[in-house]
Amino acid sequence: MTPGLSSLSHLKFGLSSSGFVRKLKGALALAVVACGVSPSPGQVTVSQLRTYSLEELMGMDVTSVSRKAEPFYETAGAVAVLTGSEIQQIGSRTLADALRYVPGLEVARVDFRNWAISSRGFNASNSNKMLVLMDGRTVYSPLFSGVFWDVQDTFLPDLDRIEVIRGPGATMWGSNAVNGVISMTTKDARYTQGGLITAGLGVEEKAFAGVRYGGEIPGKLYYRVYAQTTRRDDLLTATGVDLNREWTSTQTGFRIDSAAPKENGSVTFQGDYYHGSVGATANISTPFTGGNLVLRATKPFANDMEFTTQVYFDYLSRYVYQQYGEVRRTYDFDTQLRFSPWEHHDVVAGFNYRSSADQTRTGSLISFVPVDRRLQLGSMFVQDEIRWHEEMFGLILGSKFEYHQKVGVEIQPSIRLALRTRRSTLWAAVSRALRTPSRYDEDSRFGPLPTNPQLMGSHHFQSESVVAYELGYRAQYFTSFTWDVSLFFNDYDNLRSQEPTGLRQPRILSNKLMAETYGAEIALKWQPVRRWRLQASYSHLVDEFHLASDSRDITNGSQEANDPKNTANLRSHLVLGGGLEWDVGLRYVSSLPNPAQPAYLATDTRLAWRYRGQWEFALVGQNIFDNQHTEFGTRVSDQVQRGYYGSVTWEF
Amino acid sequence: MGILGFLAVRTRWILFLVLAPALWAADGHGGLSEQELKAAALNQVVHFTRWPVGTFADADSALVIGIFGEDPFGNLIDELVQGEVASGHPVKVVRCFTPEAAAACHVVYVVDAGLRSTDRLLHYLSDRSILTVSGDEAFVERGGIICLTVRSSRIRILVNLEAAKRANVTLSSKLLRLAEIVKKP
Repeated sequence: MTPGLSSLSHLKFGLSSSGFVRKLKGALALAVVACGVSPSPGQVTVSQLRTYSLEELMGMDVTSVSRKAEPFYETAGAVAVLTGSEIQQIGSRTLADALRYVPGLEVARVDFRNWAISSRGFNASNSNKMLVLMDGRTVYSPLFSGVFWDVQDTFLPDLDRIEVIRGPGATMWGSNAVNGVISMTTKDARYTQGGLITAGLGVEEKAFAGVRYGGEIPGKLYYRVYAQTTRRDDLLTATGVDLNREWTSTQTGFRIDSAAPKENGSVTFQGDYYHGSVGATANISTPFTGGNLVLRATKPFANDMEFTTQVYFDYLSRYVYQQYGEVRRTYDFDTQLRFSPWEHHDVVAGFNYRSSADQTRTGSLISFVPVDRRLQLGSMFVQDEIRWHEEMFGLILGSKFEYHQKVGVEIQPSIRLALRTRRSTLWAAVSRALRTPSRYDEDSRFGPLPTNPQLMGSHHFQSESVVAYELGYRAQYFTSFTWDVSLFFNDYDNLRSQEPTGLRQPRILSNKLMAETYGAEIALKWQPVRRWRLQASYSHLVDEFHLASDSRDITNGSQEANDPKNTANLRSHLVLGGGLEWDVGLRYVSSLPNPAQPAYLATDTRLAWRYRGQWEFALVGQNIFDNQHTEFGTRVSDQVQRGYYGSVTWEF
Repeated sequence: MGILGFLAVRTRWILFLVLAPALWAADGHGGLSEQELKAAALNQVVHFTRWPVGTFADADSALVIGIFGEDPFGNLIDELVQGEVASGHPVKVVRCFTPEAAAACHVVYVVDAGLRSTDRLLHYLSDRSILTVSGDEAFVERGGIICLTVRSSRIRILVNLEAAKRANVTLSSKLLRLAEIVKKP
């Protein structure tokens, strides 16, 4: 390799500030990241590039889009990215709603406070097969296995990106990344300098306001602080009754980033505190409170070696009226080392320890035995990435080794292979991933009378497992058109079943369900003219469930999944000129089997006007052609209504 | 049904969905990326610019290019300007994130001109002799001086002469011949 070329290859590290991307690159990207950005060996070096005159540069063909726009272009996995500005253009006020336009994700609002979100099937009101992270902190709860979307929030103007991997990510991220990983990252404090004030009023999104200020201590650090408050209207019940419940929340937080250039390493310290309540009835509201502190440091060494370590503390107190309550404290320590022991090899190895302790509160529906419990988890992983033939071929081999107190050591390996040309990536992968038993699986008592439950957890519950086979292709045909297709076949074993034990006896959670799912996902991005960008995606899914021969389960998986066969969406972003922008989004979800839900098509739109750059006025309509509809079963799900709001944002 | 049974049944579809587009898009290596070309063009543009007398403290003080925002070039731009001399001054690249830091540069490359903060930046820089450059076409409409854009897979240069005059920087006639003039004074 020429010196010039190796320096060009550093471009790959200039792409994103988020540690997640780096991790993802290690996990999925077959390292030819550099290949897409820099010329192949024997072509243009920096010293040659410098000698070209302006006329010569203007006569050369641009052969790839900017890496910033397509950061996952080279990854050997099914990935999608939603940038912060794309999220604002959709007009969503919650993180869960922002995910509706991510290719391959199915998002359904179950009720006032719950969303069902999953990829590649197994969507349920407590979807348990997607691992979700916020700035490197897991928000996947070990109580029910899933994410409480009602307490996940951030100051949206400071959200940098949402990255979604479909398919197992367990080799790198560990258990519960069975069907995918969703990672949300906020901006580095250096990119949020100055002040921002935003406020809005509307129907459904009744009122909100937020303020952020970012500053610096020159040469030392960049910082920002924010605070926001929100008031949301109720959803209608399945029968169309308005209970006049209300959702209020207030959140504040900060982020500090070291000012030294990134190549010298970085330190980040951040935290959030939130408090709110979700109305159970017009008179009774149930509070939630939470907070977190995260400290992360990265230090590079010679020979492309890099050391990263992160510690965090997370606190959550949440009560669901008449169902259950939970207070949870999580401590997590994570460290990893990246190095290149031999030529063509890039090794990443890491270690993680987590302690998650809860105190549950018995409601009238669900209780846990024991009431309080601390779960501890230790794990390590190692992965080698091998490149050859001028980085055209790549192979990634790795595995996670996790130790759980109850289930012992679990192994989650994967193998990925990629073939890459300048404009395309063809990849294939086989991986194994697990969902480890939650408190619900092991300790729950479900039913109106705790002494005589209808459904019980079991200490014999094992991890659910999947072996996933994937094949994908991603290409850029012209600078303005990219296309991404992936196919998968997932073979699940040990899925949760409900085994009857006798007349008037509780059903016991067991592992006697199996399933196969397969399908395809297609995502397109097209920018026909500079001012107009179109994005479309389509996913097809087939799932087949069957029971072990000795099972007496009568649910046959209906509690575990309620998936549409087809989902599709289309987004248009049009810059009209004069500071005006117009966005339209269409999303289609085909019918759900059980609980039954007819297919629906929803439309969202946003018109924004920017005045002298610093001011932005926006009008947003959500679900505009429909008074109300359910999204997760007509007889059980709440009804999402048409919503409008207007907002003003001032940046100074 | 295991994976093998599945493959036996669905092979034709898999081949169609994945291999057909793969064959269509099959091509060799070659060419340069947008960021490489823009970095090289930025380096060239600096040589076609003259600053008013008194801009530089000393005859040998550095000509500073500031990259404002999330750097898309990485080390490439630093390597490109290494050893370069423009208007008799050695060229240097820094990263800046506040208007105050940008005001200390001679050239400011605005990475994301679509941000609300861009107008605040341009306003702050407007009465200083600073060459503002971006890769985003909206930039020149908003009062930036130079845009390095891509049209029909080629690099194109847009110049807002009015803004250049206001900043009191002189762009060489050679650069103006190659560029498209967006606003005349």
